[in-house]
Amino acid sequence: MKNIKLIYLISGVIICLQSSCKKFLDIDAPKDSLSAAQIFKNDEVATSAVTGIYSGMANSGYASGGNASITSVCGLSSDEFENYNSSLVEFYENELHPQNTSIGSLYALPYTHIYTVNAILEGLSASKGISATVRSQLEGEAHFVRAFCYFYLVNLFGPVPLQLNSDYRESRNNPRAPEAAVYQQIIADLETAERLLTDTYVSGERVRPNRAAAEALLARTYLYMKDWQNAEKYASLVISKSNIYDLVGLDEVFIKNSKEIIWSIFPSANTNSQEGNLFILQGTPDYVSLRTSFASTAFEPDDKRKTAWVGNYTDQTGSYDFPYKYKVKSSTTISEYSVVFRLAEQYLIRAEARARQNKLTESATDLDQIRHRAGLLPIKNTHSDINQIQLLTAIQHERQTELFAEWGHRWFDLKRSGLSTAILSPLKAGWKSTDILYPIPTDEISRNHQINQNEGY
Amino acid sequence: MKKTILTIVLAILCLIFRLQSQEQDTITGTIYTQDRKPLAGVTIKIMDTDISATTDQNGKFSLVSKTKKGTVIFSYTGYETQSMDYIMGREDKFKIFMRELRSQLQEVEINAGYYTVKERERTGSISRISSQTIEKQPVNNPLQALQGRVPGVAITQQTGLPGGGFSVQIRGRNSITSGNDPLYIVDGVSYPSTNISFNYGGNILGNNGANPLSLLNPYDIETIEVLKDADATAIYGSRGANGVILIKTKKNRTGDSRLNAVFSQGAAAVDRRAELLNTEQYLGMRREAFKNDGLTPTTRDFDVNGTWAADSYTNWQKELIGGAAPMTNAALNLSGSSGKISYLLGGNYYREGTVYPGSFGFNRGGMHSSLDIGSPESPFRASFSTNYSRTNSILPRNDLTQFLALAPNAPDLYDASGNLNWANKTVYINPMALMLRTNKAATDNLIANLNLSYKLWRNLELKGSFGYTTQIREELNKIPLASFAPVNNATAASRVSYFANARNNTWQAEPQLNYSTKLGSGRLEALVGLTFQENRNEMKALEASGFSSDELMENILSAANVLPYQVTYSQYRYTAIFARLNYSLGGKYFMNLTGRRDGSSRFGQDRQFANFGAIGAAWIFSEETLFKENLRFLTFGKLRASYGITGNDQIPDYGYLQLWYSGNSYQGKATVRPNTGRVGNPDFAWETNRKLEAAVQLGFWQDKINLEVSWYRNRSSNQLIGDPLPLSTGSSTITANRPATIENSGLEIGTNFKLINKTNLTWSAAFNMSIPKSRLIAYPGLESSDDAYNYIIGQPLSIRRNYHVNGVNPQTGFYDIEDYDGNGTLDDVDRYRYKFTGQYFFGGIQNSLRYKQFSLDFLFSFVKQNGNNYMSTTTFTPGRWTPETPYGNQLTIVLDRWQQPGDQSQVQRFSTTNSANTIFSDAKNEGGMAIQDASYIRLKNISVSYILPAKLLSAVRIKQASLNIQGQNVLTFSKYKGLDPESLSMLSLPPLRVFSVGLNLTF
Repeated sequence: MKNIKLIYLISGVIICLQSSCKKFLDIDAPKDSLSAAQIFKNDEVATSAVTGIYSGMANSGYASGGNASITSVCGLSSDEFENYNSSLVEFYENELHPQNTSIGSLYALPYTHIYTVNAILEGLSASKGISATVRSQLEGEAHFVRAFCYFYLVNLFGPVPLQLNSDYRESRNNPRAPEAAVYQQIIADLETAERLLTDTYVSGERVRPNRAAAEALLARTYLYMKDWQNAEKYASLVISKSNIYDLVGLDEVFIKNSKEIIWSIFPSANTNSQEGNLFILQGTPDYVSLRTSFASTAFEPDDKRKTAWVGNYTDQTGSYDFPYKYKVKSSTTISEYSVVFRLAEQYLIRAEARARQNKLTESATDLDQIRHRAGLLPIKNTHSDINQIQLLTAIQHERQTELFAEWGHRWFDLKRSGLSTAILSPLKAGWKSTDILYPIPTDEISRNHQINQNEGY
Repeated sequence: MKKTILTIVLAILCLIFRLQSQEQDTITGTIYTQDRKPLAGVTIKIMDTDISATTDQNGKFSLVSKTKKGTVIFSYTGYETQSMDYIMGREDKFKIFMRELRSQLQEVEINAGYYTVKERERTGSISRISSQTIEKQPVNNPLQALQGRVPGVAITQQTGLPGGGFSVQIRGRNSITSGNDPLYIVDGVSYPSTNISFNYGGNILGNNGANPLSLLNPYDIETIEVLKDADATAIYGSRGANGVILIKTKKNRTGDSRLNAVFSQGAAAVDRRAELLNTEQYLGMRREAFKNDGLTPTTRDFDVNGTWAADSYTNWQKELIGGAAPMTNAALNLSGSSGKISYLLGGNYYREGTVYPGSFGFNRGGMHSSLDIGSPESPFRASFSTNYSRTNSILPRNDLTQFLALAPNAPDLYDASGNLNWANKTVYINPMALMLRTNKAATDNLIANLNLSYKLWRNLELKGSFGYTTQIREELNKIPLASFAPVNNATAASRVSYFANARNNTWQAEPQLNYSTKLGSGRLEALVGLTFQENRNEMKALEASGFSSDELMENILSAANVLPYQVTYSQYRYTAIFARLNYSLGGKYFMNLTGRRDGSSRFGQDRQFANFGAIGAAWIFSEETLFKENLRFLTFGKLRASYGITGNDQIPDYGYLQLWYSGNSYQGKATVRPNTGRVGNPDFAWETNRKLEAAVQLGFWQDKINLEVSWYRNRSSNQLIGDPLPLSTGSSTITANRPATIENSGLEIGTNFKLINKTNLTWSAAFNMSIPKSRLIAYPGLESSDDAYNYIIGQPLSIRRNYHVNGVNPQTGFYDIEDYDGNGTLDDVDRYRYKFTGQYFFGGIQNSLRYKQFSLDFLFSFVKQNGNNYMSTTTFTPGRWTPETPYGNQLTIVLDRWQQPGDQSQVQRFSTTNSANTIFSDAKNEGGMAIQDASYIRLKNISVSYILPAKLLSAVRIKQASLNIQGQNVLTFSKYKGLDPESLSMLSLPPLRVFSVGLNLTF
């Protein structure tokens, strides 16, 4: 009978052991990489997850300023650049195919960053080890980045799926959300970012978004949404921070941490901005140069930007103008970062928003800030009786000459003002009005049957 | 966890012996065979005691009993065990006749891992080879000893270098992307199957890298059992899908003291040579190529422009891989017993050189001990075994085999004064310089196992098995400055050393309860047990550069720069509860139920636990009166069948987790980014393998002929494959379990014949053959996946899709490759045909002859298969050569080339151009021309031995001595075009032909 007791004892032990099995299976995370739990354990590592997005932006793709960036391809699609590279010819001719690899990455990489943001937001909310200040800073930046990515996605592709968590099981079936819904999300994210962020640049340099960056993007978003009042409001908020931001001389605008910069991206290790590397010509162009018509016709006669911001390279094959806003092609001494938001745009946003609200004088004052720096006579002196339509045209033109070769401003301006066809069809043989949206990549459509293609593709 | 185990161990220790004090008396007797000859060596034992004795030469025994009455048990291998009751004083002189078993074969206890089963009664598919077979083969890796001998097991040696890689597949390839290795269990502890080497930048040891089984000395192995079907493998649950290989090391078998020493000395060399062009033919080819192209040799065509002598000839095969690799094997085992303790202590040493010039080689020294406490009848038993080895190997980083195709008139490798010859910078690659790039590795291997068992009750036994195994490998790869050609303008900065440390360890604890009882008119056996296992695998590698001289490169302190190069780490935990229920009725009907509930840390949070199980049944129909009376020639007949589910857990670690890796720095500070190439999948789980088997086992004429035919069908599903994701998820693919299904079915035949069985002459033969068939049944989304052009539904996994190459165009002289869709370029769509690249059937024929003291054993293995021929690893189209890639020589087959319009040929015109080379490369690779019949028959093993007469030996106090001559891979018959039909490559050293002479002494 002693034995029977023993059997009970052993069976008991076995049951206990088996029930503790679940716990036994908890293992250490791998040491050659980190799990989410480890990332969001302390301030420093959590911060490196957010800065990882910026280093990813700097490295390649839509935000890099390199040949596959929005700056490059949207410049080609509009009337800014000539093309010299077969990989970009489809953008230049507005004959894009949905299987174009650059289109694929233009669409995929922002979504990779959105996935990262979602994972960061989930990780932060599950974590207890992050200090309150760092938590609101990181959450603010994450919301800002998500809004930033959706801003470009919705403007490049139209309605796009709204992915707000990192679980592929949900996100794989999401349909394209209407543009209004995407804009709503952008506004919501930016408002959160504005609330969470401060005006301080936490890492010293102007390379991580702060509250002003969120306000700058809010101003731009409301402008695109034609909510003039809010556009004016947020642009004013930025402009009012005159102790932080100011317009600087043309040659100083793109120097790192200049007072004009609201947010710039720190370039990859040991390089200056990719824009400088792409644009500045020291030989026959490999990728892009300015359209010949641009330098000769776009600028008013005395515009200093024509000399300060446009360079020329001439050899036996021809004469090539190039954007010369960034002055360093390559150097291991880093003096220029890739500028994303700068104060001049905020003046132009406010000028446009005010003009739309018929605040013509105030609008002209804003516009003249920019003209003054470019060495041009103020509108209020030359055209004191300017009407609303004329003023809007002047602003449009000022945007072209001030913001050229930056972040596809020209392409988006034409699109939102409905001028794309009028201006581009004379230049592009195959132009169709549907070309204002890029095609959704084939891999997106074939893998999610909820997604349909844009018209015209 | 560890505390609990400790508690159990202590509890067992507390319950050990029950002391008894008794009076004494003696039992004596004699034991005979049925033909009345005395039988020596019979074990006599008093039941429920530890008292035992063995019979002497005259069959006599005596033993002292402590009780007045009891039961004596008589047992001897090959004879039926008998028992007899006694009452002291009444009957104390026994006269026993032992009955020989009908078949010794049927009585062999087969190790099934957690339990053993008699060959006769097994319900599962288990094959076994023993030390007798292994010891007849001069091999350095136990896997080699299995080749051609076990049905259903395809073993391919990837390189002839000692310690190199093997590919092992039991019943085909079950997984598309995950591991296909069987589970290895050495002395009850799971043992790694995968590469443990660092192998930076070179794969001299084959694609699978250094094979962990090369750390075991084959001489230490007692038996290897291969478990194949569901009945045998389901008790291994999520690890059993690819089959299980159980290796048991030697223990003291007999109980008597003896010292066994083996020593052998031999040499290994390349058997088959490729027939390459000689200088005249080679230069002829080159000149014709230039003529065909309308070109003349440039100043860089050193081979043909007169820079190199047109009349010199070097046979590079002889020069580079033509050597003989010396090998030495020595081992000593001391075994004995004292009372209830028996032991085996051993040491061994193995050394093998290489066929390369220079002093490279593989040294392995090992120690092995095994201790057994208690006898089969004792209530408490313990056994402890350790196996330790250290392996040192020094090999070049580059396999010299790839240089066979150097131009035959290339300059000598050394100049007159013995320095490396670069022939005025016309030599860009000198193999001897590359020999200075070495890979030095030292590996420690420890396997320790403790088994405890205690009989709680008459038929209830508690067992505990505790094991630990570790492999620690240190590797040093170095690339000295002297190894660079002057033309590369290498500088001191080119010197690089890689220092790597790898460590793999596993501990395991398995408590287990066994119970057996009579139930109805049958017998029930049951076991239930638990497994706890942990494995850690880590590797660190450093890259050191900036050495001031080649001599200092092994000292990391001499490096100016040391950078972390690679770090890997994984932890794996595993726990399970397993059970077996076996019921046998009347020695005729057998039913075996096995099951396991597995928990694995490799699976996602919601999928951590999984159930596996199998049912097996057997019916010995020859025991039925109907067959007994009517089919007298049929001495044994059994039908068995099984069905069950097993899993494959050879899936990546941490697959369920989203991992973050280092990103580019931002503002000079480290960043991390999620690895979106591998999105975390919380549903990540095992692959499932459903196995069905039916078999018949027959024995004819007192088992003179035995036949076993098995049919199996394994369906492997829940495959972990890339599931394409829409880009907006942030990734383009997720590795997920999909209902893709692979079917492996086949027929396995094993027979053996006792042809002659006389006192002085015996002859037996065995034959086995496997006919595997594999088929991809389902693959959802195949068309849109990365595998779209790798697989076809309904076809085996081992196919290659290829272009239609319509031979050589008689007009142009180039391969004619069809542009199937006519879009002007060759792309995947044009690969509309396919070729099979696997095995149609394989097997072996074994013969064993013994005449008096002489015995002869030989095994022919055969494989019918398709594989890569010489073309697959030929660098250039015939006629092309460049100084950077100077492997322009070709097989003499190319002489049959196209020469002029109208010629019909299988070899395109000689040409030096890049465009001709592109056509060649398209034709052989995507065009599938490199795939051809690679079948072969090989005299795998031959062994001749002579047992020295006992009279002679008794004078020098030697119990037994034998001399042997052994050969491995002795002869190969094949029409294969290339070096070797097993390794299928011209870039790696083929399996070597080995001969050895040895001596085996027992004192």
